[in-house]
Amino acid sequence: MMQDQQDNQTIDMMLNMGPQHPSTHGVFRMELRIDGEKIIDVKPHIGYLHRGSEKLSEGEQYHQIITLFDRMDYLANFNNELVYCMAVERLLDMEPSKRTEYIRVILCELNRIASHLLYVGTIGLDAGAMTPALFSFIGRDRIQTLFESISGARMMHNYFKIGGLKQEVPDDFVRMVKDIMPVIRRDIDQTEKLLTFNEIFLSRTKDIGVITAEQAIDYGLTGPCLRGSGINYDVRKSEPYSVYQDFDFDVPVGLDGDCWDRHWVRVKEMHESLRIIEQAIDKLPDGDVASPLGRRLIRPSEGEVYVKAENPRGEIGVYLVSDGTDKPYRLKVRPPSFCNLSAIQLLLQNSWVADSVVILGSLDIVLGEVDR
Amino acid sequence: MANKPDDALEEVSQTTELSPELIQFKTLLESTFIDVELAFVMTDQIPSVVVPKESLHDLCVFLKTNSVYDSKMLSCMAGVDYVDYCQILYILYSVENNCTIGIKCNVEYDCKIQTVSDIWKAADWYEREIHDLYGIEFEGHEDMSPLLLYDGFEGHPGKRDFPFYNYEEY
Repeated sequence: MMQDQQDNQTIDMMLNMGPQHPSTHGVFRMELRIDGEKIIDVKPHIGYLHRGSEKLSEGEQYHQIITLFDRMDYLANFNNELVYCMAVERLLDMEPSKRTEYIRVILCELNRIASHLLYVGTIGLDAGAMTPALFSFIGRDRIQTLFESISGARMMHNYFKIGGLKQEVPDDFVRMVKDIMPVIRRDIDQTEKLLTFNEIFLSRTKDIGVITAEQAIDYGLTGPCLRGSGINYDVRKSEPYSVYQDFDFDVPVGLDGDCWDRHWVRVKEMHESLRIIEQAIDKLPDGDVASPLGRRLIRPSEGEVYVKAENPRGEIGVYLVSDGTDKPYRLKVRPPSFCNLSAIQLLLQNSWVADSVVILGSLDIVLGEVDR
Repeated sequence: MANKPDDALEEVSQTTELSPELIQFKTLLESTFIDVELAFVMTDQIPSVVVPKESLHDLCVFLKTNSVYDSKMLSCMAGVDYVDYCQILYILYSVENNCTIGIKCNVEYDCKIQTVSDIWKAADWYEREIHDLYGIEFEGHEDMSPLLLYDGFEGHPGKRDFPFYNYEEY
C-alpha cells in the first residue's frame, strides 16, 4: 500500500527556459518549477546583457552618452535619445527650437509605431501565428528606411543632440512621412484583422496573465502594461514634455489587465501616434535645428534632475547628478521593462507552460534595457 | 563633492523662499514626525525629504497611506555614491493625484537599511540592484542574490573607486 502511494506521487520538475530561447525575447532565463504542465513557481534571472551603461556614462562626456542610450532600448532609439537630451537640457536650463521639438516628436512617434509593429509580429509568433509578423515588418521596414535617410542608420541613430539635432532633415522629409502614413495604416489594419479579433488568438490571450490595477501599480508597471489594467496613466498627458501639449490625442485604456488588453492598447496606441504625426507634420514650423552648443564641451553647473518620458514600453526616468565637470557624477535610468518584467513571477504562477511564452511576449520587454 | 548634499541642505534652510509644494510637504511631515530630524530639499522639481534611516520605513508607510500624497507607486530607486556615504533616492508617484515626491536617505557603507519591499513590490528588484552595485544591505529583504551581476562577482561596480576601465579577462 505504501509502495503504491509513493509510485503515484508526482514530483515537481525544474525546467530551464533561456537564456538562449527564441521566445524569451533576448537573453533572459526563467527557472520554472512545474507540476505536469502547470507552473508552480518561477525564478527569473536577468543580467546576461549587463554592460554597465550607467557606470560607463560616468566616464564619458555628455555628448558621448547619447550612443549609450541608443543601446539600452534598441527598439525605441529616438525615444531614449529624447529623454537623455531633455535631462541635460534641463540641467543646462536651455530650450531647443520649436522646429527641433516638432521633428523630435514626429520621429519618436514613428519609432513608437515601429516598436509596436515589431511587438505585434512577435506576439503573433509567440501565439503561433506566422503571417502577422510578415505584414507588420513591411511597415516597420518603411519607417526604418525613413530613419536611415534622416540619420544615416536604420537603428542606433545618434541623431538627437543636446539642444538640437545632428543635421537638418532632408528636403522631402514631409513628403516622405506623408507617403508612409497610408502604408503603416494599412499594415495596422491588416494585422488587426488577422490577429486582434482572431478567434484562436483571443482564446490564447483572453483571461491569460491577468494583473489587477492595484497589483500593477504595486509592481511599478507603466505604459501599455499598466493601461491594459485600466489605469489611465500616460506621461505625455499627465506631465506633458517637449511639445506634446500641442497635440490632440487619446490614451487607450484596457479593462481586464490580461494579455489581450495589453495587446489591444498597443494597437490603439499606433492609431493615436499616427494622429500626432499628422498634426505635427501640418504644423511643422520653420527654423534652425542646429544646437547652439555645437560640439563644445558641456560643463553644467552642480545640480540634479529627474526627467521622465513615455517610451513605447512605459515610463522611462533619468536621474542625472552633475558635479560641475564635463562628465556626469551619476546617471541612473529607470527602465520601464525592468519594472514590467519584475511582475513575471506573479503573472506566471499557476498558469500553463504553453501560456508562459504569450504572457512574457505581452509584457514586450527589451533585455538591453532591463540589464543596461 | 562629498559634502554636496549637506551644503545644499544649508542653502535651502537659509533661504526663506520655499516653493509652495515643498512648504505643504514640510508642514504635513513635520506635524506627523515630531521627534524625527527631517530636512527638506527640492530634487529638481520634486519636493523631497531627507530622512534618517531609522525612520525611513515608517515614513514610507505614512506616505503610501496618506490621502494627500497617496504614493501607491514606487517609480524609481537610485543609489548615489558620495564617497563617505551612499545616498538612496526613492521617487514616489501617485497616479490618482498626479504628484511626485522624493525621499532621500543617507547610509554609511557598513550600515544596514530597512527594506521597503514589503510596502512596494517594485522595490524588490531595485534593492537587489543597489545591493549589487553599492553593497548596501537591506534588512528584511527575502532574497539578496545577485540580480545584474553573476554569482561570485567580487566588488561593487557602482562605487566611484571601482577600477572600471582596467579590463580583466573572465
